Amino acid sequence: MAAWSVAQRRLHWAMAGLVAVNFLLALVMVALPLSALFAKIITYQLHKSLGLLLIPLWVWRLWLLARRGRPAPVALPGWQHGAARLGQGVLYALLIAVPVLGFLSAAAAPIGVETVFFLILPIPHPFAPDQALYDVLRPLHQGAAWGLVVLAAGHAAMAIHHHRRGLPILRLMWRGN
Amino acid sequence: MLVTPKPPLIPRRALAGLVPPLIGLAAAPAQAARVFRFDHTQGRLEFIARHLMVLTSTGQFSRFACELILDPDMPETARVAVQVETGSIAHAYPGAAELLRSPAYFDAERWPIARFSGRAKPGGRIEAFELAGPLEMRGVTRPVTMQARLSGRRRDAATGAEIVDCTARGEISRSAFGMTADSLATGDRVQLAVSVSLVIG
Repeated sequence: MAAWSVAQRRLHWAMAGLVAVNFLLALVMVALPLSALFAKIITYQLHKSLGLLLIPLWVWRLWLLARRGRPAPVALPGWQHGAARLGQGVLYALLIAVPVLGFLSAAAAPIGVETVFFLILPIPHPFAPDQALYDVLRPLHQGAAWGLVVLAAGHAAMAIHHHRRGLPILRLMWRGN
Repeated sequence: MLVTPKPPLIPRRALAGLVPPLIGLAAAPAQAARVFRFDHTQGRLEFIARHLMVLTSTGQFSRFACELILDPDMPETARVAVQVETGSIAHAYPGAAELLRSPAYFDAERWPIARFSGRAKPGGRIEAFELAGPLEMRGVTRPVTMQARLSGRRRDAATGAEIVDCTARGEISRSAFGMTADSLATGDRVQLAVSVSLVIG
């Protein structure tokens, strides 16, 4: 395979955008005071909905990767190539772990507010609110989300770094050739 | 927790506000009617609000006292009096209890007690009967009807006591009590739910 397919590239950027927007939403929704109740509820539900949207996109992306593969690796020192593959593997793992942990965390939250996908489709929680479980899941979700954002930022920084050195990594994902 | 018709389980002082409405009940016609007293240590009193029409959140009062005169075989003769400390709101979301105690909601500092006294409406069955009466909250009194039911009548294997689960649900318009804050985010109708297990024999 010489290049990423159009679907692979669009999915890459769509998921990157969703992660960035959802991370900012998380910061806002937590910081909003209860006196701004309408905005707080909307941001929480939007955060949960965008997070849930990442799950099927992740499955689609992995399916495309398995079906179409990836472009031949550019010329990089062995250790950089290994580090990039490791980083991408962890990114893929976090891209599914963060939304799943978030959903489970919402299910366990003692407040017991439902998850309604874009305020239209109710998504049943797999278990009843549970304070002890919430105390485990919430920090896991939060920590994994910070890990995802830091790693994604590093991933982006390395892509820009290689782009400046004339390597086609960023171009292949942006324009496809 | 089970409630038996024993001597008062709640402090007499806490019941002070409940006694007047119950004096007239002593002459209730049903011979088997008994007085059940319970509070927050034995039962639950919750309120459920709707948000944006599709979400719900539940809070509860962690201090209340209730006297129920009830003949489990004749629920249509039931009488109830409830006294709630509005400052005892508990809510799982951090900061929500403080907001609900504030003047925009229960105004607990100014109106520390809410009261309800109800009588069963005629024609009720043990599975479903109505308790109707005035609810006083935030200095406003409005009629409220609670849908009560006795269910799960059973004998406790350990003690041999006969037990029945008593629940009551009702709905109020919060704006009718002057609670109009956050009307964009929170619906006007708020459900009230009481549940307790009574030892009846």
